[in-house]
Amino acid sequence: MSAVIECTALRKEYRRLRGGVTIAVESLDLAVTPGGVFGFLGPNGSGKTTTIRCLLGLIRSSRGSTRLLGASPDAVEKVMRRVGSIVETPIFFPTFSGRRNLELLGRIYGIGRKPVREVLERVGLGGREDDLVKTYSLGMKQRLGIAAALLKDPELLILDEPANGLDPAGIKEVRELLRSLGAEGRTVFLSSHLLNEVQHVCDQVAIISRGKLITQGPVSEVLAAGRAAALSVRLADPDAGATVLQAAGFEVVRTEGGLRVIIDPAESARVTEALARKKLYVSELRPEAIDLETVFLELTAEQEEPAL
Amino acid sequence: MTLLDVELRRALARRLVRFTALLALLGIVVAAIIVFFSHSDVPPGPAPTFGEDCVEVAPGEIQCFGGFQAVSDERFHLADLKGVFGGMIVPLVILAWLLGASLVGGEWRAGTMTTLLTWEPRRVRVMLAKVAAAVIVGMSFFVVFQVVLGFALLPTAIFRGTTEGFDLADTARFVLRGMLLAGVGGMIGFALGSLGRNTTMAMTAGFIYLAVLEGGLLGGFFPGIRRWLIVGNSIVLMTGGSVDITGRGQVGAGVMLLTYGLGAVAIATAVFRARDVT
Repeated sequence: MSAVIECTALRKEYRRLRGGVTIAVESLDLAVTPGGVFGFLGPNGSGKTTTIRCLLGLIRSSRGSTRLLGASPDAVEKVMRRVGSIVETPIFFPTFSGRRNLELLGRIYGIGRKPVREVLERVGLGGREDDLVKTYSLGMKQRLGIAAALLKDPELLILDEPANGLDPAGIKEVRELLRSLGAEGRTVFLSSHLLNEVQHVCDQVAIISRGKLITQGPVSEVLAAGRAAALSVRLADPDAGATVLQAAGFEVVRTEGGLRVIIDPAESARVTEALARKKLYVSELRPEAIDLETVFLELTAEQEEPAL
Repeated sequence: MTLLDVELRRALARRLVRFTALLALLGIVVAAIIVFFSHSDVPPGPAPTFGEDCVEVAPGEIQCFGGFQAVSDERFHLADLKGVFGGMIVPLVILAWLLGASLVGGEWRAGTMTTLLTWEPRRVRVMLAKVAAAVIVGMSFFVVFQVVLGFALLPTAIFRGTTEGFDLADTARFVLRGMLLAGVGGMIGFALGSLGRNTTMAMTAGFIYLAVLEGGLLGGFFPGIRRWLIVGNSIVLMTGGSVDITGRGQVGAGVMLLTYGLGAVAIATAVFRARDVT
């Protein structure tokens, strides 16, 4: 399956006025396959937006190459009709209404008024579409940006921090929207630092830090690779339980009020069996939740190094 | 053409354009009222007696041995319209320059260029559509302003003056030459606004170049270079007969200015094509 987004050894550097260079992206290899939601994670200044700008042909890479739906940055106009995007905070003409802004953009591809109305409804701006953009809140501007990205009915959506400025209800709506877009067979490339959102929405993720790719793969694999799987065990006598389990060959850590057993949760039966043999019965046994935030912080912390 | 249509709609919806148009309209109305009431329909009084000491050197102007003696004529002459239009050329060309610079500078300042380029990534097309919109708006503004001003002064000429001696064709040619100048002003303003990604920079650069460099240093220290300067060629384009300024006629001056305008746009386009949009 050919990738809809490809970066090969991508490097982008900016020359500083006082000499030297700032490396925004370094040797980035990335491949996004069609369909589903792909999370592109990284702390602020990690190179996410720079990568997106390279993909969209807004900036030129210093080295390496990018391909968007198979097109190089020089030929990106051939595929732009099929790509909807938001780069950072989407900006529209403040003295035009939201509807007017979209109608003007839509004219470029001969898109009429009906699709404009539909996308505005879809992002929850129905009823406010004729208000001037300058009266919109940040969240409403963000919704308008998403509407603009959807207006081309694109097969690939590149969304840079689409939940910026949204309230919790708005974030939930965007999450559901992204899920539905992914389910429709579109590819959604979602750049974000809201790790919880990414974990709930994305099928695959890539994590970058300081311009370098740290890991990429299905969310479950990235989570598993980030930290050893473990079980949280509670029983009446934790000390005795720890002794029994260690004697049985398990790696055990004593925690407040229980035990942490380093083992794949699928093998939890082995733990209960070892304890039951010694007449120790568990009162609680659950897989330890590993969230993307923990993995992300662990992985990106490893990249901490002096500024380039 | 679609992109041009989009850019024209955006340009016409800009606050600066609307505000300036409103201000201009208000100015015309006020000027027309003042001109109407400051003129009289009374024909000029009897001309001074022609004697051996007086001679008529121009219509209504008698030169006597003691100097000039004007015949009192309080009427508004429509034939003077060309002069009125001439007085409006500099402000209108500066306005075209400002509109051109603002059209692109404002877009860079607001950040809407990024949004547009994610829809139409062909930068040369984007640039050409924007510059065409800027030039069309600047030139239209020039013509509409002059025409409206002309019509606003017409009642004064009819009821409190005279239309005698008015040469419509000559005045129209004058306005068209001014329109070309406004177009060139719009192009250069746009090009500077695009290069600096800023309206203020475009206006400052224009002022420094025209007032300081052309007006002072270049023209003053290197008289031979005058024939290549914008101001000299603009004067020749508008007034015609001053061939001695540049050594070329109106057509040559017009071509020279148009070349400068197109050259500035070409440079701005090449830079826009090569530079990152961050």
